[in-house]
Amino acid sequence: MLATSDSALPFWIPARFLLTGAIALPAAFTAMAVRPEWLLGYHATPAMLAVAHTVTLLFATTIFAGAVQQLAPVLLATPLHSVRLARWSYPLVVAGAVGVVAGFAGGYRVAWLVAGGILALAGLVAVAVNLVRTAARAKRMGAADGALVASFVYLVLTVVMGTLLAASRRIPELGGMADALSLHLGLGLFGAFFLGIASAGHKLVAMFVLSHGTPGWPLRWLANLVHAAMALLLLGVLAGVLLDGVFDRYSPGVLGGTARGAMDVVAAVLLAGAVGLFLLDTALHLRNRKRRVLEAAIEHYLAASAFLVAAFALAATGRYPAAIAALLAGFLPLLIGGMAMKILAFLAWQHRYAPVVGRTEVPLLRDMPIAWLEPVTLWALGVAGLGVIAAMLWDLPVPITRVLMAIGAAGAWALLAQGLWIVFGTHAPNTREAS
Amino acid sequence: MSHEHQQNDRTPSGSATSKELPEVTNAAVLEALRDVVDPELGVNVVDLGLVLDTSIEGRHVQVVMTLTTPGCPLHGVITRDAQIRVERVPGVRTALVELAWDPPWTPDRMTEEGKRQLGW
Repeated sequence: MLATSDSALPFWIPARFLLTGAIALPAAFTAMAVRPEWLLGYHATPAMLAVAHTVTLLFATTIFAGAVQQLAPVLLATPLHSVRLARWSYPLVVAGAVGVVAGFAGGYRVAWLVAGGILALAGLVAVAVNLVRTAARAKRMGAADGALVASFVYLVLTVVMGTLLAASRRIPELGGMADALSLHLGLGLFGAFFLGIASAGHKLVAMFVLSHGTPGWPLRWLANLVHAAMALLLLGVLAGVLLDGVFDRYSPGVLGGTARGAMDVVAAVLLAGAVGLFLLDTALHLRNRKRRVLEAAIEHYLAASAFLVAAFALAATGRYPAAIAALLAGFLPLLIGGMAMKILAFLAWQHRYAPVVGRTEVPLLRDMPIAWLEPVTLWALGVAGLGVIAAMLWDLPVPITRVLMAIGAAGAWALLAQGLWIVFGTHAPNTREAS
Repeated sequence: MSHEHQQNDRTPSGSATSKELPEVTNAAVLEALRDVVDPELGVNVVDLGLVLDTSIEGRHVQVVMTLTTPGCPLHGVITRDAQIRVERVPGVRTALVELAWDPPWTPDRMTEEGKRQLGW
């Protein structure tokens, strides 16, 4: 339920985003299985930053950029503003993401990071322009629609911040950017991914479980809290810069740091409230559902939500690297991976079977994936997510960490195999009675 | 659509024999619509309660349908499928399938069989 028939993009435009993203996830887990020591000890190494950006940029951002250009016309009931922009955004986003990952993997090569960031930014701006122009033509715009567009704007800002952070290593005038790391993380993890997932999920979960009568106010308030938190994070950085600039000679960094810290704490509280509303929204959809059996995408969604809660629990107890790991290794892979397969199944069904409906028997959407692979990806990615958290918290022995990451790699490869089967496989119609 | 209809409407020798065609009934139309399955839910549109109205005027059938979600992107596929299936009903010359959002779909419109297929 992801594209109107009269506003659908050509199949391969969103599909190549989704498949490229699906390639990135096994790459990230395989790297951690080969070099489990990266997870142990100090975490902010270039190698771990390369893995983190493989997940955030090459996996999550690429899938998000493809999916959102498919979803927006559906949610807004308006054709996408420009297919050409959508087509051009792909090489820019992917080349940019690869450049950033290569920049970290090569030992923090600033030129690669900046060049990759600029390329990715160009691609994401193209997507953002497409979304905003599409939204401008829409006759109606609900809370979920507005939040989805806003989340993509936050994604663009995240890449801007990341590129400036990298450039600050070479440009002394940008030295203050080092204090903007929390803004970069907040914009990316919550402004972009969490808000995007919550807003798209509000519509998609309702469709997938056939929920009826779920109110819209939790999502509206969720979006307001995220916007307020993002504003506070930005204000914190600005206040820090201004206060440090004025009072630096008397108390270097103290006032600015205090102001920034206070803003960050309030922003975290607001985001915790937003997460609570996200859980409430999901629970209401499930309570009001008319489709009893939950399909794999929803199971992945729920498992991912548990990692979201775990991230806040870890952050509340000061375990920040593990909290970020819960989001990067648990929340994003499970949720985006699960939803990507569902979206891919819909795209492939529309592309391959919709034209012959009524003239020959066609599979249902649930006949598209390989059924036995679905629990494999769910459990393997779940175990690996817990494994990354455990490794960071307790410095697990290398062999155990390697096994846990190998399980994650198996789950991620299974997800990729699932995607390839959905697109290229032969699907038999056989589950009409098993809703 | 007219292609299938013409096949219904002619004898093997090709001469028009519309007077010999059976009378189109509401039951036959609904039976044909039971073959139209929502590809996401796997339940046919009749048991989902998506068929709001059918009207028959001679050899012409008009079907008014709704969908579970106004933004449902499968609307084109489902309505085209419904038109093809109805035009295959013996005696039907043309079929028109229209979507309507008023009254909006509610789960109360589902049949017991539809609820059973959704797991309830």
